Amino acid sequence: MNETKEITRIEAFFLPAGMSFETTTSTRILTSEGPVELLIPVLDGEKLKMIIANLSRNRSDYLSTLSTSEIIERIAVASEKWLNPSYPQRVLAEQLLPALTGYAADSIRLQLKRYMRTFRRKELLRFIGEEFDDPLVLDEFRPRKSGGFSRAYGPKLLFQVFSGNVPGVSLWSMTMGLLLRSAQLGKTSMAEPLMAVWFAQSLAEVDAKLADSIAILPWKGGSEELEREAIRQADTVTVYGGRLAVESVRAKVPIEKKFVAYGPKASFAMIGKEALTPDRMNVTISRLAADVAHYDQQSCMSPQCVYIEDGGSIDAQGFAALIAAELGRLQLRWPRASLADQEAYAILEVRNRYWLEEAAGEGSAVYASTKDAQWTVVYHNTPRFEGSPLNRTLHVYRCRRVEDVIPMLEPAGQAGLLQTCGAAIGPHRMFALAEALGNIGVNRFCHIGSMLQAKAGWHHDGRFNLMDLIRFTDIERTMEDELEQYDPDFE
Amino acid sequence: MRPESKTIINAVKAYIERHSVINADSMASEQAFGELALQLFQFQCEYNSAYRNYAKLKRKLPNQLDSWRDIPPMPIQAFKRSPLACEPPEEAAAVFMTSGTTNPEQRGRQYHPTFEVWDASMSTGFRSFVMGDIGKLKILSLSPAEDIHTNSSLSRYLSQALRLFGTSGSQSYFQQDGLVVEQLLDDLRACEEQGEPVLLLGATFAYVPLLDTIEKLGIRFRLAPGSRILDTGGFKGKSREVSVNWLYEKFEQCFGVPRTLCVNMYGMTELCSQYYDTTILTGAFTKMKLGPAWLRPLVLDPNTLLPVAEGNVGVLAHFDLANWNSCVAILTEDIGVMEGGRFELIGRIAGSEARGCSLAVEQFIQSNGLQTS
Amino acid sequence: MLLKTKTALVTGASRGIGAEIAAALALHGASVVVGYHTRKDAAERTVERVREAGGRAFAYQADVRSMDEVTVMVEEVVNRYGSIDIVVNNALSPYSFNPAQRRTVWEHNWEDYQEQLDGSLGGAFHVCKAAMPHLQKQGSGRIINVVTNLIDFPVVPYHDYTTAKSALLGFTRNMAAELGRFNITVNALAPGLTQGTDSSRETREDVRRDIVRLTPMQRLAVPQDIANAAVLLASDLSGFITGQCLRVDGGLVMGS
Repeated sequence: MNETKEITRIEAFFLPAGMSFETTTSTRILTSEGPVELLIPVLDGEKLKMIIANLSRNRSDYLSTLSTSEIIERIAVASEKWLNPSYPQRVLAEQLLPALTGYAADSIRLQLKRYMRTFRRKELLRFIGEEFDDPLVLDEFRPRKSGGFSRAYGPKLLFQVFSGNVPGVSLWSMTMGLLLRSAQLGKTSMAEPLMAVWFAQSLAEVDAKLADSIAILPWKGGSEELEREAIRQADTVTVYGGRLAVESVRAKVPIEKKFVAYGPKASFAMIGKEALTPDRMNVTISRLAADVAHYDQQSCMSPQCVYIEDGGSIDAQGFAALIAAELGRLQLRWPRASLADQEAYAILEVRNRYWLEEAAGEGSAVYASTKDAQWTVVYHNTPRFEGSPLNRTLHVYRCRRVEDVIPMLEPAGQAGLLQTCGAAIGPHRMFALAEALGNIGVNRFCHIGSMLQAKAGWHHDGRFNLMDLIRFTDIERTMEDELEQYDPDFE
Repeated sequence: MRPESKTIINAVKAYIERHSVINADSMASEQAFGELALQLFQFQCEYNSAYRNYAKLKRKLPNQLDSWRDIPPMPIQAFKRSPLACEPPEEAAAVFMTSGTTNPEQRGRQYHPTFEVWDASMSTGFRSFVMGDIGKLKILSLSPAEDIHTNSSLSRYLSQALRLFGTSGSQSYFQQDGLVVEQLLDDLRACEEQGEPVLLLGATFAYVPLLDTIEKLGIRFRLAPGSRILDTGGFKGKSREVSVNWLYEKFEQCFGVPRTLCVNMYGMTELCSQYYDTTILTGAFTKMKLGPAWLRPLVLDPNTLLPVAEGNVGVLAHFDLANWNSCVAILTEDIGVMEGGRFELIGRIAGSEARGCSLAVEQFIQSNGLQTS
Repeated sequence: MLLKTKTALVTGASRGIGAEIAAALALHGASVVVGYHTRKDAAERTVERVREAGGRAFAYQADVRSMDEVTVMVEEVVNRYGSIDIVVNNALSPYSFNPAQRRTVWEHNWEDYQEQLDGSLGGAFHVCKAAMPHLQKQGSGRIINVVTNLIDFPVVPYHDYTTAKSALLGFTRNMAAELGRFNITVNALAPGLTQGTDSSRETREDVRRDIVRLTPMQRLAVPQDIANAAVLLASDLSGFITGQCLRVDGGLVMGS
């Protein structure tokens, strides 16, 4: 029987209340619950102007009157809703994100759960407290230790360009915008345009007027008219993405405006021999394999390569064989998304290169999934640094000690490419290794298994988060003293 | 040369001989092709250790195969790494090298202990796909022949064409200092005036500046009926890229040669045989390439390296019985699609166009010369 | 054809159960190496049998009690056939199965046990050690260790032989525990008394009748029965079965 399932239509945008536009539908997505079409607003420069005007008005009428503490409360309540498995937006996310992104449903469900917990009240407080000794400085002029007073001001209008490789990264950006009481215009990527929309909806459920200062819109990257209008009106622009995306936006942002980029980064792992004892090696391997498998290695925090020390119960090549087998098992549990042609060619090129090296006995060994290019592990008997074409392609390097590898990573670190190092080493080595890694520009040092879960308050790409977006106004120390003389009662 | 090599050479030559008449409909028995291909593969696993080691790694040694399609195609990068030859390379009569512009040490090499098979393949294909019914033509080549480039498969191709199919006065106009344009144009004019049909041969990129020059000079040729043009290879960064349509329109405008008498040849250093489109063979323009009976393409899924369904895009692999000394099956970096035994070239595997983070690392490594392989 | 493109090494394959296993694996498409120690003629006959049926095989002489000889043998297998996927450890130190002439336990010396341990267990150990890197590299493998249902039910107590086979079962289980994560399965195959083999030649009618009476399927095993079970354990069908002891005895022994 030909059962035509009714097509569900979902809005892939969020606008302040009272605004509505003509929409078109995007390509159909096939989900486990039936076909879904995304509704996308038809936009032009004029309409965008209207939206922005609305956002700005709502901000000055309402958002700017709230205290930081009140905003934190609202964000926390909105995110708490996501901790309930039957929350409608969560159900939609678990249904649609796998179909949209291709990432395994079970993996998304797990990662989403972990991620939404990072927006709880205590985490938000931690996040702010990390950068501000006195968080009230966001609300009012506060006394400084050096005398005088200071107050922090966030952007009036924040234009954010989101990437689509890892669902939900946009939520932290939106949170920052809210904490700074900015009106925000978020441009999503068609690769994943929904999380930001659902989060805005959650906020609207808690406080509709708060959410009215947010607009989330998808449009094709490079839509000149829209981008220029957004940049023209915003006072701060943030971009997440690869080199092309970042550069193309940067080129349009005049020098007077604040421009914050979260560009491409690479991460790696290091395994010390202490983690390769007979009783530890298996769990070490399964932790690292999970870091590789989630989001198919597309996150900037995913390890592209791993350095394995000599001296454990299993040598680096054995490690490669084992993690390959583990990736094979993870393929059953969290199947990898199917690849675009170019991605498949990139993996084939790497496999061919190292198969030939292996055939010539040059010290490489390739462990490749046999039926499909679902995972690839390449073992090298000498260490160096090279990127991976991602999609669960991991380079495994043998080294004498992991510290030996630092000089090889230094050039990439200096070029600003390195982000996270996930490690499993004896505790007595932690500080020395952290020092060496920090020296070459690595900005996050964490345990393997947690590489994709950055904790609240981390210095994203080594920088401040809120600090990058604000400006300060200082009341000089001498002023308050001097002004006393104008008080008639002063003597 | 070992007796086993002689046996193989004779077997391949006999096969070429048996299938020397090529027409658009002839599809040689796959079984006969397969048998000889597997025989060649067995021979190569015995005497070409690099190929054997690769096949062993892929678990595709002769005893592990079901059919000729299972023969593991050797990635063409392998031709750069080490000599791929069953007969000792130092005893070869000649070695052809790819035109690598960057690192001369990293050029793909194919060794030719003898040209018996190469010549037989080339001439048989050329006769059918280019000459058609005509025995000989006045041939003018835009690209260098053997005397200028001793290690180029294209140069030998052109020299053989001149030798076997060219009437007296046929020559290559690419000399020590480059293309002698004036002389070429003069000779073309002379042929035109005498109503003598000609065959122009050259690399695709060689035609572009010539056509530009002709346009600039404001001259035209109306070459005699039966005149035809062969182009081959891509642009390789040596000229600006033009579309196929532009090229053939210009051939018509500048030379008076209709599209139906223009043929494109697909060949490479790593192959000993050539593909042609069937335009001249059938009289109808097409971009689809057909090989002679001893040359078969396969389009492979990059994920599995298994053949894709017809009409789907994938990586091109070629099975060339004339490749007796190196590898009977090769894996190119070309992307194509197949239909009815013919393939169309779509493009090349660009450098790793992986997503954002990975691409940045690749670019960083390349720009800093850190790539060691 | 369950074993196409696979390569199998069967030790002690010149005759009896070993030869039958080799032939059955080859029939299912595997390239088979017929390992033997002294009976070259018998080994060649097994190879001939495989080839006549259209399969691929060659015979290789080695004493499985020697690590060096086994190492060379495994290298040769991988060189010739490109890989090693299936290992069947069937070889043992020469043994005479004779209920009337066997040694009682009080007549045994330790050396008797040692000799059987060296053959059954030592042989399997050497072969597994040599093959392991290859199996680990290719991320899959099948190890089949031939034991005996006498370990569960010593209907005739061949002390030294059966003790060594028991050790081989322990070896099997521990290897299974460690190698499972490499996608290598390790199982034991426990034939019952099998007619037409050395182990049954001297067994007289009365013992046979006793065994048959207690066997649900009411007969003794034939070598083909054992070979079929070996094919199952060697194939992809048993990909999630490891550490098991598969008794092929018509049901004489049941349970762990």
